Amino acid sequence: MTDPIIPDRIADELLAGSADHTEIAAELRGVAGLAAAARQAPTEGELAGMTAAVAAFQAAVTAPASAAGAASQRSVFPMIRTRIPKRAAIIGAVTVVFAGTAAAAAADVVPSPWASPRVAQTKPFATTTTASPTTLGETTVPTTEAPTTTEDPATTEGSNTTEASATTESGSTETTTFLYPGRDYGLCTAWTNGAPKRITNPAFSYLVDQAIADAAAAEAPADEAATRAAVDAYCEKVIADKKGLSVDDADADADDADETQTATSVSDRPAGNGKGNGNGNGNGKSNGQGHGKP
Amino acid sequence: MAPSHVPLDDSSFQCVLTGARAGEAWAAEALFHDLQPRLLRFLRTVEPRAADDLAGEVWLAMASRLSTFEGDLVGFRAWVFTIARRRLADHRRTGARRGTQPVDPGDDVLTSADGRAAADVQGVVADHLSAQEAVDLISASLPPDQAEVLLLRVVADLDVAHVAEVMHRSPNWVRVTQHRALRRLAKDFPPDSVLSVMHADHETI
Repeated sequence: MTDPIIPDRIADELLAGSADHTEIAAELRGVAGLAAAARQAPTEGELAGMTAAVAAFQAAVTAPASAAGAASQRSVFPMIRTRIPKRAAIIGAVTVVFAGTAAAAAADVVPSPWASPRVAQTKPFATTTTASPTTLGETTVPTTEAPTTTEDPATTEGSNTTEASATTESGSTETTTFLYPGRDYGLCTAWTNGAPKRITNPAFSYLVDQAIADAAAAEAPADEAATRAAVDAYCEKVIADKKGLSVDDADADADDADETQTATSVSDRPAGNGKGNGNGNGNGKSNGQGHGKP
Repeated sequence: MAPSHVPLDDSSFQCVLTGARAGEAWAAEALFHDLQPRLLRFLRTVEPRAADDLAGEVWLAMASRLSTFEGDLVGFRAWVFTIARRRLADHRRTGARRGTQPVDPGDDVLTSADGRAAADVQGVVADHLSAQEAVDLISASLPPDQAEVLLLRVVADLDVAHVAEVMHRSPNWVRVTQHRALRRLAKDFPPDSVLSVMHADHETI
């Protein structure tokens, strides 16, 4: 047996407390009484605290912006604090630091922590240069070609000249051609400084050979004194050749004593006089190898 | 008894609402007198220990957003009970996160919502029934959904459409649930059990 359907109108009146109990089915009168009991007038206990509640209500209404802001802070910030654990925040911070360090190292802003110290130190003195066209009027003149390869002049006999290109303030490019390799200038500086050097010193064997080759065109030296004089003359020419440049250019080229390269600008290179002096004092060069580098 | 106040009905509601938005004390008192007992009866049934605090939060939330409300008296009650249900859900979520276990309030057999047998309470109903006791009886006798529908219809005085809006259900679902609830209550409470309450000359909210 199924229960009879309660019409919506009866249900509404019953729940609203407006039903005539004579119209209500007998089985629903208990429910009607229950609903009427639930709708009784408020008691003193239920209305207790009205003064305080009204005062708080007035305060909240008259300051809606601040109340709403406080409410949003109460509801938003605890949610953020609880939903983002401390561990996740720490992991995120560490990730950001490492990613920033890696990006900075990749961009050469800071030395790469993964590169070897030797590479990190030699990087500023890298011998490769970038091609940067210089505009002269309407003509674009590339001041350099592709990045050049460094070759040791001791094994490269044919490259006896060094070229340096400097871009002037007006934008034009001046190219100076040196007659003698930069290594010769360093050796000559060492040769002329301090006490007279021995011809047989292996550190100067390259310089002696260069001087003899240079003098062979005119008159080959016959003995040691003549050889020394040939070296002196050769060095005088080499140094005079270098003195023809500006100080910055000379310093920069001295640093590249064992290299053949072109550069768009050499004015920012570190001074390189120490190489020539290092060769001349004989320390570390007694092995007879005669390399230009200390 | 409660102090004199402006009675809240459809004709006076807009005037009261305007006064409440302006921070008028008399308007706030009228709203309090109409809404607070309904809120407390509803909240004390579903969350007895936190009902007063939750009602306070509802008042503050209502006051801070009063300027955004537009509608009539029934719509206003539906809006307030929507806020109340949200505050209740927040409270329960917080309690679940903290791992608290609400304790039965005590030896009052009518304040617990654990589904006591109707036979145990019929005698109490026949003698005298306060509003809160009646609400607790309804809540204890019905499944949660059915109890909430009836409470919103009786205590909040909402029609089917507004109950559906508050509970995020369809009006049809509300009607069906309400019908089942009434049938169930009719079985549990025979006519003679509450006649004394029904025939008494009570003032209602």
